[in-house]
Amino acid sequence: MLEVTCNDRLGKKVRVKCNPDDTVGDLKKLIAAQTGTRYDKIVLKKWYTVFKDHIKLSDYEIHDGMNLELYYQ
Amino acid sequence: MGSKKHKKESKKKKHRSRSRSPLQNEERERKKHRKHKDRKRDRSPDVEEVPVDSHLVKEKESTRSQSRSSSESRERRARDPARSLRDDAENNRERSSESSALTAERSQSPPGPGAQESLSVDDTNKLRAKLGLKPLEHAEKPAEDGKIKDDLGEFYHKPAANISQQKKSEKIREKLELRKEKRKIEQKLQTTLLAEESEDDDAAAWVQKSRDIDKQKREAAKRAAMLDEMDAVFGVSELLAEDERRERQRSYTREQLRGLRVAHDLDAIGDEREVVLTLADKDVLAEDKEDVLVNVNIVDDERTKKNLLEAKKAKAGYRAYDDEADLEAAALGFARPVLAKYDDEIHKGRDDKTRGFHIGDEHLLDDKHFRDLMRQERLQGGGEKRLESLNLPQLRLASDYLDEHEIQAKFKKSKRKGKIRKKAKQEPIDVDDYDAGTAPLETDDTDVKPAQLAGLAGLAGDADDAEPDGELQAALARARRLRQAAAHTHKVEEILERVKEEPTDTEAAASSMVLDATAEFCRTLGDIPTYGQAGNRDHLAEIMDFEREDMEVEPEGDNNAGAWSRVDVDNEKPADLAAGSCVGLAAEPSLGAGVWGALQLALSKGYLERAGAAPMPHSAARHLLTARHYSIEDKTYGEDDKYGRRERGGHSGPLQDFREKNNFRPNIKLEYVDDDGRPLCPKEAFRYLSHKFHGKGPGKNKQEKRIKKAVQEGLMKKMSSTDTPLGTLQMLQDKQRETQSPYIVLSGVKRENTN
Repeated sequence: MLEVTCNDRLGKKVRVKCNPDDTVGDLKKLIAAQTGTRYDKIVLKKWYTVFKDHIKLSDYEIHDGMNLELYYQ
Repeated sequence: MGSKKHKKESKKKKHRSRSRSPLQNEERERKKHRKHKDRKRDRSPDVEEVPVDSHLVKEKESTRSQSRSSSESRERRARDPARSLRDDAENNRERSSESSALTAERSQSPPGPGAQESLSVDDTNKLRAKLGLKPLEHAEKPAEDGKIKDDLGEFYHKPAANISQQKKSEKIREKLELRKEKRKIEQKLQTTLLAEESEDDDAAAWVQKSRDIDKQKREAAKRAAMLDEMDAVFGVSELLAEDERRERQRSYTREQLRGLRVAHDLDAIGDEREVVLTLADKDVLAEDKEDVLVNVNIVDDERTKKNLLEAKKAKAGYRAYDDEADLEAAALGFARPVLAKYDDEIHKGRDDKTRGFHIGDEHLLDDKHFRDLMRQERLQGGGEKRLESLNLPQLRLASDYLDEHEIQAKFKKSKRKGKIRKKAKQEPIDVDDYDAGTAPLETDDTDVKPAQLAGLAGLAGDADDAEPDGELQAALARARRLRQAAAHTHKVEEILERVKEEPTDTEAAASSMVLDATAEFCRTLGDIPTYGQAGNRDHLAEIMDFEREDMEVEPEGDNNAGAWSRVDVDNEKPADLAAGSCVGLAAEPSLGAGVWGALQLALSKGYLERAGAAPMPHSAARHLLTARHYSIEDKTYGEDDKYGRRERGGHSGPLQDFREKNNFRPNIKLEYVDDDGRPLCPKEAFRYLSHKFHGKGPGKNKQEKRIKKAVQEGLMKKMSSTDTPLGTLQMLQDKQRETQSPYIVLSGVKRENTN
């Protein structure tokens, strides 16, 4: 289990617990559940890397306590 | 909690802005930054435990039911007074009137910015179930083999060894081993310990035991004494002792020792001295079984002697090649032997076997006796060898006078010598006398004939008595030589006659030079410069006998100081004559005429100095030429220079007057002229020289100016003092002379006009 922090820097900052073998899409759904935003409107980024939905967190080497940038589309 | 805070704050602001305003956000942000720590502390418990929605619901419930206990609120107040206040206010407000639906709705809305929310694991799981995801994996337990999965769960890591634990375990193991050992030892000693314990327990038992032992010993001693007594009574002990002695004698007599070798010389063992000999050590595996007797002291002595010898040898220093014989052997191709110093090491016990003597060897003893006898005989002076005694003849007091023996031991004077001397005195031997080439140079032939003397009378007077005047002597010698050259032929005949009359050993001597120690000594002594000058000496009277003999053999050699070479008279003659005929040079005094001649020669050559020496021929002229008080001062040394160099600032001139140039008044006039030949004043001269020196002349303007000045100066010099530069006076006088009037009429246009 790992916990990532997602911040949109507009006032939303959530900490989400997830599994390393979750896909980015799963993470988005969890974020959506916590923030109330629709999951398909969420974009997760780290610097200029846009995380794709079908790839696992472990493949992106997302570890416990990491910060992800939360954007909307 | 963030949401709660937001809610509270918004409420505090009396719902002024329910919706998020940028201003509010900003403010909040600032606050966040300021109280970062505080917030963190506050937030952590709430955030983790309470999911947003449920928390809100719970809070609502709690507020409604007033379930929050006073103690809890107090605690909170203590932690954060401001917040607790806020809480209270909120509570009151909520209690007063607040539509639950509204709050619920608001709680649904996204939480305020900066708020961070996290669902608990359970809630997340529930959520995940709803979404169709598998539940969260809980924190991995370490695998059964102690390996830990990494974050991704792919790799197992072996945990690092815990050093402290290792140490601890090691300590425990050591302790255990120690105990084990102890236990083992104890088990071993158990029986004795038990025994000791049993007997040594009380002192009384121990005392008893020791006493028993003592008693037994005493009894045994008593019994033994009794038995001895009985033996003595029956004479058994004596018999036994005798038996033993006999046995020993039988087993070990002189016969047994016969043939045993003693490893020392017979001399080393003193004559009638008891020497304890022991069997020498030898190798167990030694092939020869012979026993050798040695005495430790003598062995030590021998070793010392050997070491001393070695030390002496070593003192000789390093010699790469001990023997030339070795080298030769090597050169011939034989195997070169090892250096001699290793002989001992190589042939270690070789001489040991042959050394020494055998006990019971009678003729060896005889040998020794014989040798001793021989030695004694040698000491007593037997044989053909002469013994030198170190006794010196008795010392005597030295005396200045000869004693009788010494007088008798003196040389005898030969008769002939006196005669020779007399004749030699009469007339100096001239080299020219011998130019006939006759081998025997007899001094007899130098006899002065009365006729000859008469011929010389005008010039010479008596040569012997004459004062040693150089010029006179030279003249005399010259005259003599001329005369002798004339009387040459008959003189030779005379000589021949004399030779016939006196057959001497000089013929033999003429062919060979006689050199003996005394003659050599006298030759090296040279002439005594002052000898005979006082006139109190009869010239050759005191010359010793040997010298006279020498003179007899070769009369010119004796005077020819420092040279044994015989003058080749034949070759010498013409040169001599030429020298005599030469006008400018004085003839060389004859050398052959005894000491006088030699002295003359020495004087003329300048080897000797005469006390009241007559002036040399050129000395007068030279005297005029030479400066009387002439001396050369050495400028490189001396005080002048030194002081001058030291104190240059003060008076650096020479300390002495320059006396030679006392009245030297140089007439010096320094004049400088420039390129045009004009004389320059010192200032100008300096400028001129300076310009020349630096190679840089004055500027063009300056030059022009100077030229102008010079021209003006020239004009000034040309200018007449009586007339104006335009010659007005001259003109006036000319006019007056012309008009013959003492005046002139000044007329002009203007004048006329005005007049």
